[in-house]
Amino acid sequence: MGREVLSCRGVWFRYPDGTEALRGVSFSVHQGEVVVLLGPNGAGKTTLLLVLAGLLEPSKGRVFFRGRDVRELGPELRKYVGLVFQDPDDQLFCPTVFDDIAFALRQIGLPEEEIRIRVLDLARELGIEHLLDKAPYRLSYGEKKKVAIATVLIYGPEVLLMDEPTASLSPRYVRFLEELVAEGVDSGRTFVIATQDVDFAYEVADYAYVLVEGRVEAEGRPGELLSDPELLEKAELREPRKLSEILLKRTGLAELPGRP
Amino acid sequence: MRAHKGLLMRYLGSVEHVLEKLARERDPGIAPATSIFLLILLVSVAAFTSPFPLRPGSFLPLLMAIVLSLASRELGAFLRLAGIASFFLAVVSLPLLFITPGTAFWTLRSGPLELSATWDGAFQALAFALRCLNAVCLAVAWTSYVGFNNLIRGLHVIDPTGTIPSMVFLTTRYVPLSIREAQKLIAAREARTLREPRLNTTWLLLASSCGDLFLRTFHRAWKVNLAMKSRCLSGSLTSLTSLKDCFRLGARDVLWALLALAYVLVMTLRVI
Repeated sequence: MGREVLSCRGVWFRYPDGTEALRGVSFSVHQGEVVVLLGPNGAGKTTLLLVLAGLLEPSKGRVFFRGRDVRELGPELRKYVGLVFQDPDDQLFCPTVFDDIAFALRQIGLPEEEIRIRVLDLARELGIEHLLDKAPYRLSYGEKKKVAIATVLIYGPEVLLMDEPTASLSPRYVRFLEELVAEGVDSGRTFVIATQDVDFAYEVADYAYVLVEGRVEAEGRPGELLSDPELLEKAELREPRKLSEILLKRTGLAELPGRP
Repeated sequence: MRAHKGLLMRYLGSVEHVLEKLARERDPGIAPATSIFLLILLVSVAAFTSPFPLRPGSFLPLLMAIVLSLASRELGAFLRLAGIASFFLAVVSLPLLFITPGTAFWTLRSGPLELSATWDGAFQALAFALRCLNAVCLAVAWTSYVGFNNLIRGLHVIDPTGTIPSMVFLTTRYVPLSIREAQKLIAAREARTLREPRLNTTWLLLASSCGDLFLRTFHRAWKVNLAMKSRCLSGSLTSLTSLKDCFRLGARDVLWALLALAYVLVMTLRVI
């Protein structure tokens, strides 16, 4: 296991309307690891990602990147930690896909020619080069998701935070995401993924945290957590299909007792 | 969808389309400083030179606007905006027809109320409408030719701190967002309007949605702001250009300055 890259200790976060989204969350992720945050709607997964990305400041507790408090790092953190939002419409705000992907590079003042080369290379890699001149809001949901990922991958952050990356996506895009995560891990990238898609989580994750009502309810290997019926009930999750198949093979039953 | 129902959506769609077109990155080879100075010059002259008595020169700004739109391959967007602007100008200038004294050519009588449309009023209304149309069309055509971002960079000449350019840059991102939110809101409400829609229904829907629209747009803007922040690697939205880059002049700048000078002379001295 690599060294710890991103962590938080006893993080609390309260929104201005009084909603307590996080209640003393402690969390850590190591280099090259894929960590998933599981939990029902409103569990605090998105808020935790925003806090980890340094976009929201916790009411209490501290967040660390490579052992340094992110408050000391300030905006420098953004070079290392990229966030892909759940709704691509929140992420894409430029008139063309090209401009959106190039946004971060233009912010650091790279020459336009270099930006063009980098954007084209990444677009080719992700199979979205035919979309570059289009307006982002005219794309299909799956295309928007791909472009949203490209806007972050373009500057190569060490840690990629993804909020519900598989929500409303066809199986083809889910496979694309699985490959993207696998390739990212091979190149040493770290992933923190908030999701309710247990199949995807089981497929890609090394470690999992289950959040319920702003607290870490459980943590451990996805296989262990996702086979605990009580925890699944509490977190409004179900058993991953792959795990069910394994259990069925082991027991030799047509269906597992007590499961619909 | 019925024609009148689609009118508002088409209108919003057109405005959004034009704004998106204007916001696209372009490289016309003109320095930002030249872009902004010429915008101010061309539009001021069009706006403050009376087109009456009608001469061929009165239509010069419109002609220039068409040529610029053709050069930037945005004739469609330009014509759409010219159409919308003409409609609004016709509505806004209509009262001039009745409040300007002169020889009446038509009178509306309703009980003790008497409204007379005068020839002088008609000329005033036409002059006002043509002057505004000239200015708006030229502004839009020039903007689509040089690119809105080039003009925003040029604003650094006026505000070297970069505050105004950054604010304008963010506005260009947020306005289309608001329009899209309005479209979604209207579509969602229309989908649940079970009775037969009337001509004014959609406009009433928009009017009644203003509060919701504001809240939704605010929420969306907050999220977009977070997305921008997360990709502003230098910490905050960087200065869009340097003052030095604003004044990087070339042959095209000189050519456009000469053309603009000729235009000003033609318009002010009424050569044609």
